[in-house]
Parts: sequence; structure tokens; C-alpha cells
Amino acid sequence: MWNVTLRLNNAFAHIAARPVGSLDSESKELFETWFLPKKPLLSYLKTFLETHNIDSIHKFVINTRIGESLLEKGLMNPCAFLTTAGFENWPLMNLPVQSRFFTLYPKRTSSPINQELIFGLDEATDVNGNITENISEQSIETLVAKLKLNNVEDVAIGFIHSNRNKDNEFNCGKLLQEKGFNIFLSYHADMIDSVNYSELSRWWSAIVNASLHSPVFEYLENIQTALAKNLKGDILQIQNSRLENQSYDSKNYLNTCLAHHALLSKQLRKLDLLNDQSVVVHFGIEEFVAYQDNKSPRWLTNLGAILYPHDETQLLKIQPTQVIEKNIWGSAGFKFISRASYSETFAKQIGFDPGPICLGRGMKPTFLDLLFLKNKLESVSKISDHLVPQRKRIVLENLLSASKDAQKTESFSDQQITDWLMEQAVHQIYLDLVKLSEYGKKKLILTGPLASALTPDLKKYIAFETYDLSSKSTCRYFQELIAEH
Amino acid sequence: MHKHFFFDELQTLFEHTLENHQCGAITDSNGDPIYVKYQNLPDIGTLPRSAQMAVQYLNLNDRDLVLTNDPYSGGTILSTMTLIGLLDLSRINKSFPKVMISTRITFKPEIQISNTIEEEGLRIPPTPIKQKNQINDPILEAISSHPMAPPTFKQTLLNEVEKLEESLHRLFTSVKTFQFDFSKSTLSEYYDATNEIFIEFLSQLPKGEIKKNFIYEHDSKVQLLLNVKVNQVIFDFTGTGTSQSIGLTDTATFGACLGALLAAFKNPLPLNQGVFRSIQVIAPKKSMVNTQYPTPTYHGMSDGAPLLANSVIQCLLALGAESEMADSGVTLCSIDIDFGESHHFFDTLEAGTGALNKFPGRNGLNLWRRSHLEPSVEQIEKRFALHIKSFSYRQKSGGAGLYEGGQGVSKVYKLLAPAKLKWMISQDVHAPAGVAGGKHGAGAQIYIQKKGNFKNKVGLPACGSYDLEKDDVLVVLSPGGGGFGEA
Repeated sequence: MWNVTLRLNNAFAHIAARPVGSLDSESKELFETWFLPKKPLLSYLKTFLETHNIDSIHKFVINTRIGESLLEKGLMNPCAFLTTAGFENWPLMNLPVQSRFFTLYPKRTSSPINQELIFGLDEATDVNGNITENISEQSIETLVAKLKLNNVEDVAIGFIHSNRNKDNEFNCGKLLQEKGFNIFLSYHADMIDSVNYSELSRWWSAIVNASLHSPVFEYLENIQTALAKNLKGDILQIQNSRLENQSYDSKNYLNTCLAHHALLSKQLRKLDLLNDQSVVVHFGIEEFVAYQDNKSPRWLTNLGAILYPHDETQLLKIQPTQVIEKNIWGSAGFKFISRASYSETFAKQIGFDPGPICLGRGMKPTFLDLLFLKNKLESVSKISDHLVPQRKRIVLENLLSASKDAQKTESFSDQQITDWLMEQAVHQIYLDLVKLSEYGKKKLILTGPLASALTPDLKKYIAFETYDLSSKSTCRYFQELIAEH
Repeated sequence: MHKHFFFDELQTLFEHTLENHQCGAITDSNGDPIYVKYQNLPDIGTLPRSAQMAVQYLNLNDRDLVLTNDPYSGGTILSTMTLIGLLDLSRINKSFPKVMISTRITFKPEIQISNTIEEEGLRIPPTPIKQKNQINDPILEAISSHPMAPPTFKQTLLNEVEKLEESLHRLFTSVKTFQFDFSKSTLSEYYDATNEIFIEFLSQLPKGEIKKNFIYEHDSKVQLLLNVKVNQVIFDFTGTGTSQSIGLTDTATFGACLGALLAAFKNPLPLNQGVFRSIQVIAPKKSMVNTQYPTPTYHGMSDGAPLLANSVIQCLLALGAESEMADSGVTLCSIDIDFGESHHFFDTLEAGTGALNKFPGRNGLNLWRRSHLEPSVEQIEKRFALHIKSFSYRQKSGGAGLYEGGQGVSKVYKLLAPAKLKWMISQDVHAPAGVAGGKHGAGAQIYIQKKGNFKNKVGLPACGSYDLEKDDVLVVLSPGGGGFGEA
């Protein structure tokens, strides 16, 4: 019997398999990394199981970023939202405005819920937790008819002051559940701090959970189906952000978001790399992220703050698939975007579909392409096999084209463009590192497959340590965790 | 490094310097803005001015800090303080200038219906609060103990001092570490390059002159002669009258004009002296667009600046035929419910934006303010004797048309204890106008349902005060945007 773990990022997946009870023996471990844009996940999975004759699986646990990805891209399923009458517009009224700058065409973030599917119910709980108006069964009956007319299956519920008295939310949820709906309440027993935050962050957690339900379930069900004849023990499980395993068909998919970071955080703590005196910065192929020894009660998303306790991380300003394009000065530059809700700017990333030019499909240069031009990717094992050397010319042409206007005032060479852009990136990364380390008060540890590409340049500006943390070691740690459970 | 690559990196550096602030400005020792990050219209003109005034009237050394809230010294409303710090970059290189960083500290506003700025609140002229690394405690204590000082003044200020000092440190360290050329000649080139971009942006707009008159309140007449040239824009307010209720300082007027121009461009523009020098604002002294001490400024800064920006947009669009925009609701509909003993609830409402050619207006979205507030019904009810009956869009308030104006917002509060209400609204009588056959949006309204009885309605004027009783229900409705085209 085998225990299998699968870490699913957006572009890369890491699978590890071990015979049950063989944690002490590295020789029995199977490990592979898959590049998902090249071949579908299920195809890789089938090949892996067949090649290694894994026909009897005790546990199969996934750690996936699918929830975050759907949220980021606005690809969740619309759900219905029930709230206290008088506040039907309240969530949409407070969605973040897209740009920090004045414009005649301001826009708010797209909402995962349509106004037509937001319903107000006559109910009331006061600020002391006293229910002053109960939910009536009659109002539920009327509501059920509307929900069925709109083919709604997933329903989020958020009432004013439900964190002080959950009864109205519970009762409403129970009545609707009996009618066959999937229910997602804003009340969470473990969110004891929720009284200190806006009800909106609590409601959004319920709405996001409801909106993730169908697409994530469908995604996992496909994997479960593919594994069906091999799985002998438990059904497919998914790791949540508390690093507990839950059945793939459990309803709470919000709590699987950020599980990827939780796994790495815990591993870093176990290795004694992460504590209150240090910051660990992971330069991964998909993202550059800093880990700190803090928990944050809220997750800042493009919908605003969602009440969701998680291990605190911070994305660096420069990201691997950050676009380099023509800037306002007429030269090539890193693209940042602003959101009015936040005082800072963020990298504009294109991800891996189609991805950086160096991997064969993309047409827009990214930071990874810059590293590619500087020959810094050849030694990165995870990505070196997928590089297309002939594409260097395309990257360069793009950068030169973006810098055409600047060339009119003073011409410069290919080498100079790449050097200047690299210098800009290193400077920006340095600014982030110095801020994270609180100006030297905390130890800085750099790790990840792209760390070696950057550390020689960063060394000029800031002191740090490095640690070689491989994907394999994280998978091994993942295996240890599921063996414990 | 090629200068265009360097200028891009400078932008990144400035973003990093002011990252922890919602708004701020970096200015050189002449008061010329190097970088402006704004949250509202007056910020654009007033932030650099505050630094200029500080350096003009005070003898400052490296890392000295100055505090002011005086609208006549680069402030805006009295509840928003401006903190300014000086950074002497010549310590890195003798050819580098001194620069100033100014940031804002926002306290909860309090509405005072007053005839002078002194009655509106505590006014602090530019005052050094940290010199030679020493906090000026006696001054802070004196301000704290003033009856009109915000309750948490000292602690909040000290926190903000720490943040500003971090910004000064960030800028200094970055310039030093990267050995940036921050000389006056490089800054001059930076301004010139920005000016070239601005002129290119101007080429998107139609050229020419247009004169229009606008009425905001019954006694506030604005006359604007807008002249868009190839390399300059002139806003001439000659002929603009005085106003009993709306008064903007000249720098706030500058901010409103430039802010409106920025909104008309398709892309964001770096904001520095390279842009500022191509904008001319002619604002007659004592007119409502260049009000003088001791005119109160709350209404001007909160509603007047956005109204002015609306007018500028109308003029800009009237110059060319490419697109038209109906009037947007811009009044903040400020309300202040005072429960006594310095315990008061303050709130504002978003309004509906005007429809454009091919686009309906946006519901409940302020065109001229960017902030990251996290409002909460539960927190309001926890802290104040209020029951919030509803916060929602104001149905059918957008002007009808081929493209409908955006809906305003409706807020309904029930009083659980007696309190004194004060308020200021605009766009009640002069509701946002429709264009090209589109209808007006609904005007702003404020009224009370006595003891919650909707038949016992007390309509309120545009500003004033009223004694609310327990169980009274206060209804505030912000304007909808004007509609575009015939339906």
C-alpha cells in the first residue's frame, strides 16, 4: 500500500509516493515534478501510477492552490447570498475600486455574486446578541422558490451581528439545507476575533466559500475518478491551511486556500529557519514570497479583506512572471498595478498560461525571461528542461521594441538593456528585503530554486544567509505529516 | 543607466518611500513637487504647498519635523493634519538638495457650522514638533489639551511621526545604497522628461478656449475660462463670485483643476514639477476659488473641490465632440451625530457618477476620492447609540437616459439616544445634470422621521444642526449621477 502526496501549484506539481510505513527509508521514495502547461495533470498522474505499478493507495492527499487561483482570476461560480434586509447592496458597495488614480471610468473589482442573487431577509439580532426578529418559515418558502427558479445550489448566508448570536443564521441555514441547498454560513466558531472586524470580511468568507464549492469539487472529483480503482483506503483528501486532511467532498474549500504557504511555513519552523527573529524569503519559479512567524486573521484579496486566519506571508514587488513592457518614459520597465484599497502597488503577472517567452509559448517578456537572457536559468533543474534557447532572440526583440522611444535620445546595446533591467529588479528586491528584515533587526534567509540566480547581485547590498530547500524535501515533509494523521 | 530607465526606477523609489502612507508628497527645497501621491483633489496642490510653507517660514535642519493643519498654509480640513519632514541629501553628495516629505494624518472630522476658520476647529500653523532629534513635548501637550483637539491626538501623532521618519530613512538609504544621482540637474531633467510626456498627453485633448458658468449653491457662481494649448492649460476663474458656504484655497483649486485633467487622460501620469509648471490657475483673491483667511474651508475642501472638478470636466468635454459626460454626484453628504462628551459619529456617503457616451454611471462611487476605509455596520452599532436600518443604493436615483446615471446611496439610522445632528450637503437643489437629452440625477436629501413615523417627516436644508430625540430616524440620500442621451 502506498501513501501519495501531490502538491499542486499553478504551473508545477510535485508528487511523492512511499510504501506505507517506510518513512525511514529514502530509497523507497518516488518523486517527480510535472510541468502542467505541457500536459494535463490527469495524464501525468496516469503515467506515474502505471510506470511505478502503484495500484493500491492507502492515502492520497492533495495540497492545491486551485481555490486561490479561481479567486484571483474571478472564475468562481456565482452563488446566492442571503443577508439582513436593508443591506443587500452592502457587499457590492464596498468592493475595492480598481485604480488608485483619478479616471472618468472607475471600476470596482468584479464580484463573484450578482445583485440579482442577493436576497434580504427580515431578521434582526441586536448589538448585544439578542434576536429581535426571528427568521420566518414563510419567508424561507418564498426564497426557496426564487432560488430554484435561478438554479441556485450554493447559498452563502451573512446576517448583521451573527457573530454575537448565530441562531438566525443557523436556523435559516438548516431550513434551506432541508430543501437541498448547500449552505455556507458567515459564522465561524473559531473566529473569536471576528467581533473586531467589519461584517463584510466575515460575509465575504462565506461568499467565497460558496463560490468555490462547485468548481473546486468538480476539479477534485475528476482526480478522485481517475484514482478510483487505485484508492483502497480513504477517498481522496485535501490538505487545508491548518495542515489537516479533509475529504475531497467536504464543503469547506476556503480553508484549503493558502495551504501551500502553510505547509512551507511549518516546514521552515521545523527546520528552525523561521522564528520571531528571522524572515525567510522563498524565490520560487512561480512566486517570490516572504514568510514571517506571524498569523494574520484576515486575507487581503482583490475582493477586500476576508476573515481567514492564516500564516502571514508577503509577496515581493518583483515576481517571476511579472510583465516587462513599454513604460511611460518610453523604455522597457516592470509593470505594476495599483488598487485603490491598498496604498502599495503590485506586480502585474501573466502566470504560465501561456507564460514566459523562454518556455516556448508566451509572447510577453517577463522577469523569468530576463533571467533567461542572463543565462541564470540553465542551472535551475525544475525549469532548465523546458527552456527553448532559440527564444532568446524574441525576448530581446521585445525589450528593444519597448525601448524604441528611449533609443531616440541615446542609443544603447542589448547588453545594456538587460543589465539595467536586472539592476532595477535587484534594487526593488533589496528594498523589499531591507523592509522585511526591519532594517537588520531580523535575520534574512533566502531559499528556493531561483535564489542562486539572485544572491550574487543581492550580496552587494544586504547581508543574508541561504538555505537549500528542495521541493523534494517539502514533499518528504508532507509525507511525514500525513503519516502522523 | 539611460536616464529613461533611471526615471522609471525613481518612480519605484518614490512609491517605496511613501508606501506606508495613503497620500504624501516629496518636494525639493524650492517647494517644487518631485512626487505626489494623492487621495483626494486638494491633496494634489496642498501637499507640496505645505512643504513649501514649512521651509519658507521655519529654519529647519535635517530630520526636523513640522506639523500643520492650517488650510492657508497647505492644509485642507482642520481634522486632517499634515506632517512634514526635511531630509538633507547633501550629506550623501554635496550636489544633492534638501527634500521634504509631507504626509497626512486623518482624524475624525467634526462639523462646525461656523463663520470663520477659527470657529471650525483648532487651527495649527506650521509648527516645529521635532528639532535636533527632540520631540517638542510642550507644544504637543499644549495642542493635546486644547478643547478642540482630537481625543487621541498625541499618541496618533507620535505613531505617524515614526512612519514619516521611516519614510525619510527609506529615501535616504536607497539614494545612498544605490548611489543614485539625485542632483538638481538630474531632477531638472526628470521634470523636463515628465513635461514632454504631459505635452504628449495633452495632444489627446482638443485645443481651444471655452467659457462656462456654473452655480453650485444659491449664492456660489463659478465662471471658468478654460484654455487648452499645445503645451499648457490655463484655468481662468476671473468673474467667479464669493460664497457664504463654499470656499477653496488657491492650492485646493489648483488640485481640483489638475485632478480633473488627470482623469481625462487615458493613462496615469507621474506627478511632479514637470506637470505643475504647465498648469496655470488664475483665481481672483477673495473669490470662492481663492478664499482668504478667516473663511471656513470644510465645505469647500470636501464638496467644493469635487464640484469644481466636475465643472472642469464639463468644459474639457465641451471643447471636443469625442465624448460627453453627465454630471456626477460628488457631495460627501457629511453628517455628524454628537452624543456629547466628545463622543460623536461622523459619516459620509458616496454618490452616483454621471453616465458617459456608451457607459452608464457607476453606483455609489466617488469619482474624486480614493481611500481604503473599511466601514462596518456592526462596529458602528457597537460604538454608538445607533441602529442602522439600512445602507443601500438609492433606487431610481440615477438620471434616466440612453445610458442611466449611477445610483446614489441611501443610509438610514435610528437613534437609540438623544443627540445633536450637524450636517453639510450639496447638490440638493442643483442636482447632477444630464447631458445630450439625459435627465438629471436625483438631488441630495436629508430628512428625519420623527419617532420613526414615516408620516411625520421633517425635511432639512443643505446645512444646519438639529436636536434628535431617541427613536428618531435619520435618512440621508446622496445624489444620483446625470443620465446620457435620450432614452
